[in-house]
Amino acid sequence: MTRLFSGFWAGLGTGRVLRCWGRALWLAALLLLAPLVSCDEGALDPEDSSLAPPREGYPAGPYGTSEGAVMADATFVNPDGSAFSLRELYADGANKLILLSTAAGWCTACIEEAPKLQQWHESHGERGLAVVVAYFEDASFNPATAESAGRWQTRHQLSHRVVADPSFLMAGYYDARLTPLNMIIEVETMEILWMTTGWDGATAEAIIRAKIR
Amino acid sequence: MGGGRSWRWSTWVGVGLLTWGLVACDDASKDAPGGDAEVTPPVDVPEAEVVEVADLVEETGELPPDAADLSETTELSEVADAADADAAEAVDVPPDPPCAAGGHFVEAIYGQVVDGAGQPVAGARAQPCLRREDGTLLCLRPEPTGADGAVAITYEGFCITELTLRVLLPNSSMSTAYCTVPLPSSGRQVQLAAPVVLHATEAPLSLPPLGDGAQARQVDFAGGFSLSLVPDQLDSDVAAYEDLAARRLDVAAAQLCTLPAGAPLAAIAFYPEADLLAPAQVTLRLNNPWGLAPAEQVSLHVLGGLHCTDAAGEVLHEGRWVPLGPATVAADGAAILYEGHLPCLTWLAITE
Repeated sequence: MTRLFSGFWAGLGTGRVLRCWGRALWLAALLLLAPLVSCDEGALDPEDSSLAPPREGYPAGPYGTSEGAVMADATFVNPDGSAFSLRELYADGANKLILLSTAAGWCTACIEEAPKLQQWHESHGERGLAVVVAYFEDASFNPATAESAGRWQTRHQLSHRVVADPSFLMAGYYDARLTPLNMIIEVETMEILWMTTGWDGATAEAIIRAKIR
Repeated sequence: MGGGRSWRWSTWVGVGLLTWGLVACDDASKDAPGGDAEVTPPVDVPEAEVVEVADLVEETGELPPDAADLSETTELSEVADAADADAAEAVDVPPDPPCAAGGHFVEAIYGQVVDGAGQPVAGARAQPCLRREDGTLLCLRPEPTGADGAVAITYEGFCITELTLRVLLPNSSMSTAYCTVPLPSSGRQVQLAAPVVLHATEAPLSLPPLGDGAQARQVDFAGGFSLSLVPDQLDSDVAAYEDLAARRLDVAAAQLCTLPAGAPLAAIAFYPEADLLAPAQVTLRLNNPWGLAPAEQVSLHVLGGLHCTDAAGEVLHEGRWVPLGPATVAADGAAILYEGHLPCLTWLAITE
């Protein structure tokens, strides 16, 4: 080691050594950078959401309807009449969590909840939270249509996604006598992390903040 | 040779820096949430799901229920389970006495829906919304009534502080009824004290064509009253301006679930039930069968209902009467006039 450093100091004056030393510093810098980049992968940086690559396919089953289960792909209807599948949310690499909520035109609790969901969409949407309301019946208990879902979205001034669930697919996930359902899904695995009927903002917020940092 | 020697030096330096970097990275990972080497998550739980409750509280500003009972680190599912613990307890434990003061454990609601003639209404929906002890609302999706008009709603009960019923016959022009239901002091079931009455409404005597929906127009109804309104302000899931209908009833005939404050004189039921988008200024003109003196004032009230919002955008509580202001007997004594804001078309009541 002594020889090494004495050689270093002796050769420091030559141009060739300086060029080599410069290359070495670059190499060291690159080598230093590599682990820093790799160790940062574990953190969910909100700034990186938009840069995330798209995902392909959809997580394999077995699928289930309770917490801990993988949620099967489901197809709903957009207010413009086009089809919308959960697969689309999965494909978007920027999405980290889905907050899926049911609503109906007769559901006063859903009316109370609407501004809170909008608030979360505004505060966490760009960081990877996809808020989706599945509207399943109008105020007269008629199955939802694209139009009635759109009216719900307009009436409550919602800029997050609202879709019609005319066949009430979401009824398979909870006691459908009690509305609304609120469900948080981890997009990477499409695992149902948490479900509740009614509003439990504190728990939902805690999960969202823990998962989207 | 000198260059090769320098290259070896640089390699040593690079390796040294790399080693330092790896150590630093490892230290950083120990500081990161979920990265503490002391924490060994269960084998089947991804490390990313391990969070500290303290972090949740710090970031949300709220303490998940029972968080104090959790260990320093826990899984998300445990946080959620802990938060649900109270509710689960309320469901699993017998109702006496799981409810806080003012709370009532209710697991069933029974009653009947009839029409104005007292005949059972089949296909009606008696839809309850329940206010839980934590202040959140949950709405039940009832099955339609059978031929006997019977209401029988059972569910996994919980503690509630408030029960409101919205009763309607879907896809008909019968009025929608709202009832704030008294909660039982004992027992787990609510039995409505009287049948809920749905009244048929009547098409207007004159309904101006829609034309320019932004223009106010006067609609005359049977029963001696008229209402001027702007069709574009009518916001309803159920029907449109062309379907507008109403019915004026004396209070005894109306058989309202809940009466407004003051001595009621009359009530008016509207169809469709609709929010009136602000600023909804209306003129209501009623005849004066009671012989009230000119300039005498009565009070006008509106019944809070679905999507019913006031001028400030505040939601009117379903099933509660809200005073709108005075209506004044005209100088000739023939009519009673109200000019002002009307939040929604549900029911109106006139009281002395």
